[in-house]
Amino acid sequence: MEQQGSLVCVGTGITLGSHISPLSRSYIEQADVVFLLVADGITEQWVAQMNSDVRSLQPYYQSGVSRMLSYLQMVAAILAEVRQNKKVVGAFYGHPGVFAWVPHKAIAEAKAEGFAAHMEPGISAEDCLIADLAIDPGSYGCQHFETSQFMFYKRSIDTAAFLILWQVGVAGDRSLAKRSTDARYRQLLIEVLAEYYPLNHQVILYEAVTLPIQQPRISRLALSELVSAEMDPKTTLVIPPATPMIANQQMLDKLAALQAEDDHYQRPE
Amino acid sequence: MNNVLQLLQSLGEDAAMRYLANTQLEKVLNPLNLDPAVQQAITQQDDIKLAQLLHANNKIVCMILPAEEPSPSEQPAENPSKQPGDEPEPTETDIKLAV
Repeated sequence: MEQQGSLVCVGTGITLGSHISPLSRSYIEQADVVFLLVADGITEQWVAQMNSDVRSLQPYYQSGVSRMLSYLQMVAAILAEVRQNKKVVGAFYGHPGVFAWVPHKAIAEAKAEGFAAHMEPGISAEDCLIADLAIDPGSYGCQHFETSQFMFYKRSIDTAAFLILWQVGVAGDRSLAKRSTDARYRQLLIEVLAEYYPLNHQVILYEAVTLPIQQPRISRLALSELVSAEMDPKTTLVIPPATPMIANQQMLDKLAALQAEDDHYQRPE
Repeated sequence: MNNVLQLLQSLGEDAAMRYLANTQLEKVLNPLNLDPAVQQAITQQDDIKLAQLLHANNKIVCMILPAEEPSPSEQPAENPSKQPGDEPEPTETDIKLAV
């Protein structure tokens, strides 16, 4: 039997005022309780004015403690209110389902317990990145990884496509307790990337605009310069293609044969 | 809504205001009688100063994706009744990376 409590995870978008959808805003305004996680304190104040019971998830982050514990506590706090049969909204910056474990986990748990739960999309940092850097992921293809996960596991990198690494400011942190990692960790990231890219390959450090008074950060530098570059938890590493796409001639020949067959049967009598 | 938050919302959502040059922005700001320090922070694009002036939380953490799955020892303190093993551990597919 479906229960009365419900959970909707919505995206607030990245830029205050610019990106929140009418539907996401309406969910926030009509909720019994809103749990909020956004990327700056002013946006936190802005959303807090939309509902009388907005609870920041920031206090769950504790210095020196694994963020995984914080994430599990956030999910537990959200679910506790759903179980009280309240209309609960989780409002997360950007898109609530992109590089965001907490909303997915909270929705899955709520559904498993018989509550109505779903996600409403938002404008993500990736969307801003595409607009600000004027790149099209369709032009050469695009791979995305969380930076530390990219370092922990062996992956197949296509150097003819864009490579985008998120949370690069905490590259290589296995403890999940650091707010940033230093040059030693970055050097190891460069070591992994140097298997695929020359050290002088030009890369981009990007930060989207969270307040409409800011400018996006677009810093172009050589791969080797990452070791000493200024980084923030919001910084994203964008690596443009380094090699041309190589034609799959075998497949092109097979497709040409198919096309010839089609042309033969479509030829007028 | 707080005047400054209302202004920021307008700067974010109004096409006529989104990318104003400073001279035009000052024309918008002047009639609002904002604290001169707030006005200066806005025109100088100084978000750190603006956050201070608005007493906004300036120690924001916004990462909500783990690189790896939680270990069995990591359980939420708020949910002591739930025991390890009550539910399957998150798998790789729990950590959504789709964009």
